[in-house]
Amino acid sequence: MPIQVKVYRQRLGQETTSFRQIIVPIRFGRAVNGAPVRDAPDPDDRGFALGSEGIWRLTNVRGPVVGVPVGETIRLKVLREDIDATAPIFVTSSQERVVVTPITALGADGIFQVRVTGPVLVGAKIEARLGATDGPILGEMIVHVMGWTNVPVCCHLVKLNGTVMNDGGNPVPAKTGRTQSAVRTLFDNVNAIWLPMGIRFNIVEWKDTECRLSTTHGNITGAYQGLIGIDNSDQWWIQANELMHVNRRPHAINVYFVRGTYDADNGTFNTTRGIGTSVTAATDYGVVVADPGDGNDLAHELGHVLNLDFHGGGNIGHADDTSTSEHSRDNIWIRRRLMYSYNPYGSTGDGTPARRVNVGYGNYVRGSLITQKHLAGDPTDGEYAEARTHATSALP
Amino acid sequence: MSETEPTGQAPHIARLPSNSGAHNLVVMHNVELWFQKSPGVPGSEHREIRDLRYQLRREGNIVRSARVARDGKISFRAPLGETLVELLVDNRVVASYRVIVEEHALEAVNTVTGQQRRLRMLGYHLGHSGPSGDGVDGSMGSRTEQAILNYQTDKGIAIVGNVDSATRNALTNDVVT
Repeated sequence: MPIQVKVYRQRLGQETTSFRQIIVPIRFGRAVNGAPVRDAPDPDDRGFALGSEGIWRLTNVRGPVVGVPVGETIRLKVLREDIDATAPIFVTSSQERVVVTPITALGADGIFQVRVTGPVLVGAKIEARLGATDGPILGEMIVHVMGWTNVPVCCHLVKLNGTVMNDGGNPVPAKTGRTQSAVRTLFDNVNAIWLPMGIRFNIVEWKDTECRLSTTHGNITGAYQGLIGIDNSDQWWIQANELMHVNRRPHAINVYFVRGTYDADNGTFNTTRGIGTSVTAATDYGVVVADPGDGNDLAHELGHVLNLDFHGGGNIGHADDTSTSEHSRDNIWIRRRLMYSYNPYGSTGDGTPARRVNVGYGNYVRGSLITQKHLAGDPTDGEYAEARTHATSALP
Repeated sequence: MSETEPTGQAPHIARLPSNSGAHNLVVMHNVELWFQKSPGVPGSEHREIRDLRYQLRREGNIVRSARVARDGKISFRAPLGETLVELLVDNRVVASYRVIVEEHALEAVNTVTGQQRRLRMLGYHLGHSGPSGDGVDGSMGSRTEQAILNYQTDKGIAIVGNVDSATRNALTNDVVT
């Protein structure tokens, strides 16, 4: 079925204006919809410019960038946007160590695999071609190849402030409900998200950490003593910070799993599901995660440890944005990113106000893009370079 | 490469049927299509798709068989109405585009439809909603927002997400040949 293309002319008196019509047949995208999957990364396709990051900006390649560590195999997809669904499209690689399959025409789903067998020269790219493996190039994307960086992690299963009673007077556990097995599964999700950065978080030690916090903050007494106190004051992090000094393993990211958080100001539980502090901070760095936190939450907090800030430096992106506005920068790009600002507007699952519930991962699924490009006008972009700078097996 | 269509510069073709006392004026318009690897104004950054073979078909007849220019452009003259551009691989049609020439004013750039129309002219993908299946549907959906962000990024103007005056001006200027 032919693609319809309208070509416009506009006549004003004796003057006729002609308008250009550009056809871009294909684009590249994630191989799957839904939650992050280890072998189906999210290409950084924000714009077709490359920004200032990476040596690849010096090449003549324009388009999306996908990160692949040496030895890994990923899946991607060619989307036939402006070309017939049956058009025969082949995918090729510009370098031998970037192996693309199939070598035959892509199927209707457009999915193909990329395996990186070794280091490559700068500017490795994947090309989608029409009709044959030497056919015209319809589209291209950069394959950013890197080695693995392993980051050691010490996991603390925390029992905080002893046994506590809930409002009904029944004892409730002060210890996190997570098991080692559950935490390992959580880190599988985390490492799926961080794979395109070539960063892998390895659990090197488990600790059953029990402590009684000396700092008081908010109404963290009685039934709430097993929780980390969080409120909206300037000192909201003070109890988490105290915990992050306890029973530490040096030269590793210490992750403290706690039962929950409590916001005494609002009387709400677990509105904050994680806290992460940067390795560059003067205080001890680390992560505190509440039991309701998922892999995306933990991956996000680990991003803070590697010195990634919220998109826009903690400010909601658009100057006019409010809890009822629909500015796309917040809806599409911020919320697609792993480091988006969670507060004050709640999760993508919040259908009110009218925010995009689908930021590219399916309805009500949070995004997990960590940016490869460093685009102009965004002080918190270029996350690949920033995270890799601080991801090292020789942490302070 | 074969070229079967005259490429003269006459602005229109007039023919006078033998059984008619009136002039039947067929106005021919210049049509320019660019095939590109990425959206945006042609002529920079190696965006062009080279070596595409195509044929033009009008009223069932092949009127040209050729290869796109080095800048990925196909230029031809056509009356208002429909021309089929067919991409060829080994002389087999593998994809086709129904090119419809219309002469009227574009929708205003301060309307969603006008913004979508211009983004499409520049090659940005909007999905396949709307009456023409090209994503121009008058609704500010996620694909349109994504296209606006991509366009602002590529232009190096403030990435604000909504269509501000700088974006409106850029869109207005970029679509004119």
